Amino acid sequence: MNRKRIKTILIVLIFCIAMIASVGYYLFNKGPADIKNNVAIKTEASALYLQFISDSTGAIKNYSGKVIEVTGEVNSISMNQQNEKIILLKTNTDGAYVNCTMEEDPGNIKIKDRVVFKGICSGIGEGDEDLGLTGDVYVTRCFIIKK
Amino acid sequence: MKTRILFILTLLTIIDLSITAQKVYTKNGSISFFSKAPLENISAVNNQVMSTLSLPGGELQFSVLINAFHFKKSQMEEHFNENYMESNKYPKAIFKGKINELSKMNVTSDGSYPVQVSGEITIHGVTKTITASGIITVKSAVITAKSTFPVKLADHNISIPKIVKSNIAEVIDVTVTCTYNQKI
Repeated sequence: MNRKRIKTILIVLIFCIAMIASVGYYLFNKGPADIKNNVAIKTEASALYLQFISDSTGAIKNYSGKVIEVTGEVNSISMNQQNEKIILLKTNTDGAYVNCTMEEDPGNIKIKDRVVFKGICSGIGEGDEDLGLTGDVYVTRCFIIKK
Repeated sequence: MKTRILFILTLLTIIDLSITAQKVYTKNGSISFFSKAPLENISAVNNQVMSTLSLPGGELQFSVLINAFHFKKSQMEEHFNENYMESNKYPKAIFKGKINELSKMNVTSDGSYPVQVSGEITIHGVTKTITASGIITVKSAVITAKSTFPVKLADHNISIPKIVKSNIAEVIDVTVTCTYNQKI
């Protein structure tokens, strides 16, 4: 093998290693998922909750950890300990809500408004039968899409 | 005058009873963890903790969805859910226990009270008995509970591959903060 060929192979090899290292570095340091520009699964608050209580395995497979776009009526607005807005969307079950933690302030939203939020579905929380508490379906990192 | 004093005393007793014998809860408590390792420090937060507290007994329960933990880096979040916690297989972590001797405290007056909490914690499908120190704070009749306790990953069958051993601590610090602003 002549010297020129070895040199070319070395250059290609170094280039490949640099590329792999750059991609690895980029992926390792990549920030949280871009919710706003992600494709979302569209659903209604009541339908989402119903799916979690009627077919929890199927709902986990279809929604948990995925970006969803959920439509519903605002039941209440509050703040959590981190000063993020918590907006509960009504479902057909009393005391059970789609519990949305806002990443961005949704602006002037009032109770009974019909809204569309985009965020990541975490799944359904644990209720407490003894206390008569139902679990909510949680959606995090929410953005308002439509009011 | 006597009637007025009697009325005030009755009112205070009613208020006192309503605070001391009640069940309070939150569906948006907070839990975070911190892993300090030679190569990097990792932290994650979950603000979707469901927790209930019964008074005066002090029965305490909280449950948390594993995939509601959020990290600064998406790769960490992915590894946490898929490789370590297997959140599809074990979607929740649950604690059921009691705040010891809460009934002996006067939780009707504002203040901070150091407490011991003991019970069973289930993480990654493995249940362990745990005792931790915490602080109960009462402000304007609203109770906040805070506790930081260590969790050894090996105790819950969470295995870390050798290649990333120096990135993740064997024991992580978990902090729970719940403000019980809802009543049953």
